[in-house]
Amino acid sequence: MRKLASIVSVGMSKIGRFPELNGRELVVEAFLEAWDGCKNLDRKDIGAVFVGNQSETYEHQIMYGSLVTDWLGLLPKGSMRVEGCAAAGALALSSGVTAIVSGLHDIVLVCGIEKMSLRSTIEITDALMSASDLVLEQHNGMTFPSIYALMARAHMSKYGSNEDDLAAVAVKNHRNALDNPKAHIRKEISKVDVLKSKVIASPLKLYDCSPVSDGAAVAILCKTELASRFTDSPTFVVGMGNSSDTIGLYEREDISWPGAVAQACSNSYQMAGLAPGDISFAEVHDAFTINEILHYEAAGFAKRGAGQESIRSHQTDIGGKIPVNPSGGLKARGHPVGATGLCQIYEIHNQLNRRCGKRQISGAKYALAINEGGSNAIVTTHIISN
Amino acid sequence: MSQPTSFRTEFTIENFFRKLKEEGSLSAARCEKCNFKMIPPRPICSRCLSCDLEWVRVPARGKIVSFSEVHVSSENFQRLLPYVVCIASFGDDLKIPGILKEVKNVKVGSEVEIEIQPDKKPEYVFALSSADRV
Repeated sequence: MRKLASIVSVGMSKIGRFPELNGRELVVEAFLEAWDGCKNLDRKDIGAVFVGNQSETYEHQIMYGSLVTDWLGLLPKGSMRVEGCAAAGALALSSGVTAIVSGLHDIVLVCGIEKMSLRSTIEITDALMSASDLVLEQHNGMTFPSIYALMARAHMSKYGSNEDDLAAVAVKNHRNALDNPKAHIRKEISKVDVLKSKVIASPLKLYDCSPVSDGAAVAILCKTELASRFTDSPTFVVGMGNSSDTIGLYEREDISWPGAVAQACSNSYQMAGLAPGDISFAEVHDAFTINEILHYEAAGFAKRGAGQESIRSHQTDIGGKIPVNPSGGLKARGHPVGATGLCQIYEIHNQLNRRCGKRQISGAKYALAINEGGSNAIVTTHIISN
Repeated sequence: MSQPTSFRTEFTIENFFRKLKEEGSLSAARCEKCNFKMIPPRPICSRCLSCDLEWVRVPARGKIVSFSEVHVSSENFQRLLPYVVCIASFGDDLKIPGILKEVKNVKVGSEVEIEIQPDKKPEYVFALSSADRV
């Protein structure tokens, strides 16, 4: 197994709605935590900055590469914004790892940021729709909840999953977030609460959808040989995968199968020399509850068409066979779109270092992160070890 | 070797909407080499990269593969709320998304017909076939 790069420190802002803070200030909050957790690092040694960010619509701000590099005192180092809708955070991580593997840089900073709550629900719905096909999806009023609802209905009709199964995912992830002090929503909910919540795009209801969140997350990466200079508790990227699918959901042979997720997971397993059964826990992209069930299947935790069995038998609870989203997931930790991929890495790094208190997964060794954008149209996966 | 001349294709999105208006139907591009169908059309076949394409008319009737009743949407669609979006299949090799005229009695497998509305947005909608209307 090859250690592609080392994660030496991570930081994350609190996730939530913060009308008093700008996106750049959330980045500072996340960075300070990572900086404090990293000894002997001279900021002049950070070679480059990669920033994941979804949309300029919210703040009317692009150029986040320059902005973050400046506000963190890292000028004149090189930087770039990477974009793949909600996959932006993991794409920033992949870009950083690639820079290290290539030998171009020894140490890099990767960052994800989204400041969404300035805008109304109608405006945010529109900004997110730009991640679907313009010609036939956006022009036909297909919102993102409705696109995932189409996947859900297709899965239900083909395999017998149901609204109770989706509700169970929301209940589990809300329960996990109760013990996550930085989570956006720390509120226990029942299946009945989910089933009785307002319909957003049938069969998906309010509690099937992740919230609109502000937040930022960062990670400091270095080549593995250097890690011990900066920390006693590094984690290592041992596998990564990136796969694309059609931007339009309707163009796929089977709309209930996230093919690019399966491909990216397979690439990561192959690179790490691991199988699904070796994974201790996963953080997956539950932007909508149905997607967590689809990701069980694509990650190989369940057979194709049987994802609902994993939630019914509590296999993905903390303490279950393969815990999924111990952080609370996008559903309850929150979903600041461009930051989410690195929020997943924040949880994984802390879990692998036994820092997660009541939600700690015992004996965790390998973790899988699945971050995706659009309708599982850009997928970036990482396997992290301690 | 001379440089290629500028790229020209009739298989454009603009022509897709022009044909919709002129012919009153939806058209896809079919690859003459591998039979792959694309809607909207693309200049090259994304399965085999062939440029040998032809226009084919989408069959008038299809079946609902999946649907969702939308209650929260963007500014452009507020006037339609609530509305049903669906993906319908037209034969084994073509699926098309669209808004359904009806909200009630929609099921996976229901038969739909394409209705062209050349002067409106969106330019086409689906309507449940009479047999599936209750």
